[in-house]
Amino acid sequence: MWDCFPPEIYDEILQRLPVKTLVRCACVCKSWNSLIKNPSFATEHLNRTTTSDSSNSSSNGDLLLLRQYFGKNERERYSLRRDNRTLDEFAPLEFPFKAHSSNYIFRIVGSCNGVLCLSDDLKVYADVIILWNPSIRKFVTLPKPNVTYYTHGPHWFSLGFGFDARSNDYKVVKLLYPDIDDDKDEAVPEVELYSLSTGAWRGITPACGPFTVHASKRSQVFMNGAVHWPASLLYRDNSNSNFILSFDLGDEVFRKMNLPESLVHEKGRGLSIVELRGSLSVFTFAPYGRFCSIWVMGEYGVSETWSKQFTIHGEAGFLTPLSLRKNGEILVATRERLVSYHPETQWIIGLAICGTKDSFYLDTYKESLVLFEKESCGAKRKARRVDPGGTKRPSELHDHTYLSLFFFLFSVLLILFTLDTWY
Amino acid sequence: MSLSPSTSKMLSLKSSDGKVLEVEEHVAVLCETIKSLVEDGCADSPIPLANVDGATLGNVMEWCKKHADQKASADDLEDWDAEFVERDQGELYHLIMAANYLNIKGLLDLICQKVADMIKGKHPEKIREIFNIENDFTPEQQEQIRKDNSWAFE
Repeated sequence: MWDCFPPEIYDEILQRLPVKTLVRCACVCKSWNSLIKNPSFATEHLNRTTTSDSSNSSSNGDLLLLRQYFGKNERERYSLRRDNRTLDEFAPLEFPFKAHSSNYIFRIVGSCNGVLCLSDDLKVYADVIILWNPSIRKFVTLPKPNVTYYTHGPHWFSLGFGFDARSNDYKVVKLLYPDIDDDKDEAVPEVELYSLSTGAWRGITPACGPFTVHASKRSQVFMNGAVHWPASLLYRDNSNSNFILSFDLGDEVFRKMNLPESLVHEKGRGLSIVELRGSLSVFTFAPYGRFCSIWVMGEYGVSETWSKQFTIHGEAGFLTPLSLRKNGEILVATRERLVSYHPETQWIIGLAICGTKDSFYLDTYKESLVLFEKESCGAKRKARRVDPGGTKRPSELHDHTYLSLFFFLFSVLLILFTLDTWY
Repeated sequence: MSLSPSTSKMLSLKSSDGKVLEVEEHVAVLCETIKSLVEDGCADSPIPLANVDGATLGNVMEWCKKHADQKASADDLEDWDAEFVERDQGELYHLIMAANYLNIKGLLDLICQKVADMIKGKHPEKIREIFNIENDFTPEQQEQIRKDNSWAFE
């Protein structure tokens, strides 16, 4: 009887299911499998969860994804957190990768539609970029960009990650600045764009002419179809002027957005960018200061709507605003823990969430089916293969070596103990 | 043309098994299909609904009547809907087909959600049983999909 349904009815029903059931549904029959694995199904499913989550926030809505790292020889730890007073753990996430440098972590470029973009570049020119969907445990390792350390030598680069709704495609953009020590005002980056649907990088000629930008490697925000970086123009007399550089993933065009007047010549640790509940925001540290100021762009793209909304006092230089919570508090990473800042009372509430400096990542999270059609399983096997040329240090091998060593020592001790009691 | 309750004009609808149902126009026009007939002035004779049987048409109109009632509060409707969908699979199936044919988005959403809730968390074998779907994978393909996504079957 039910098998007489027109396909659009199955679509209507399946769109309402959580990803775990959908993964099971892909096993029901071939037609369901191809329906669920169609990338446009994942996009529609996301749109539906986006709209229905608000009415259903008590169960699964408003989850946050947290990355913590406890230091050398520890693995980075990912978990889902509830947005409640103590940020309780909702579920741990299995992290199947290991950074090239065994005592360091991946940089999280950004996340979009349940997919994280990871780049193993904090200690090396690793050129290993991974798109990872933790909710369905799928990932795609990007091929090496064409422009790398091997082709261009030492360089400075920025990455951006987001979704192009027009072509229903996920894209990674890389801006590479050769000659980092060159005292030039005009630095024209090499630009490459990776598209998930083609699985390849291609070069792009920046359409807005030679833009003289040193985009920050530290932060990017994807919103309104574009990636945004804080950027600045450097002049010979050592002065600078700051702005926001955006790259639209749909029309693939770079654009410039103005910053508030008082931040244009800001120096010091520079500007960082963050999305706070759908608004483009930048924060900056006062020189030697014990506070950071957050500016929010009220209406996207309208530079007159910038306003300084928060000033957070705390430990000098170690305040990184991460996320604006439902209750209006801001989650801030300090040197070694996460705190929640109440803007009106200016109270800082410590949370029992620790980690090393600069290792925290926190963003709102929604489960999705993006990447489901990709053949990325056997995750660990592939993760090893992505290790860039040179030293290969497969994570499993490491773990196994330690494990074997441990068992060997344990056996020796056991034998000694047995012998001891024997005699 | 006014479609407000005050007109209380009656429309007759004829089901696939020949039953004729008299329904107030402001109730019947919750079906987009009927609404466009009324707007085009083609709704004078009994409107033949070839794809909907009498029992299902009765159920559909019961839902429309409740949802056309402007006095019903949102909470009230929610409770009423929750009771309305407590039906056997056969009735749900016919309601989905009718809601799709008559183009009643609210009803279609409601029943699709009910069916989704029925299969949420279920294993493929159980889902196939519910929908009477034949497994057209080879055992090898089946095994591979499960292996690739073993976490979802734990």
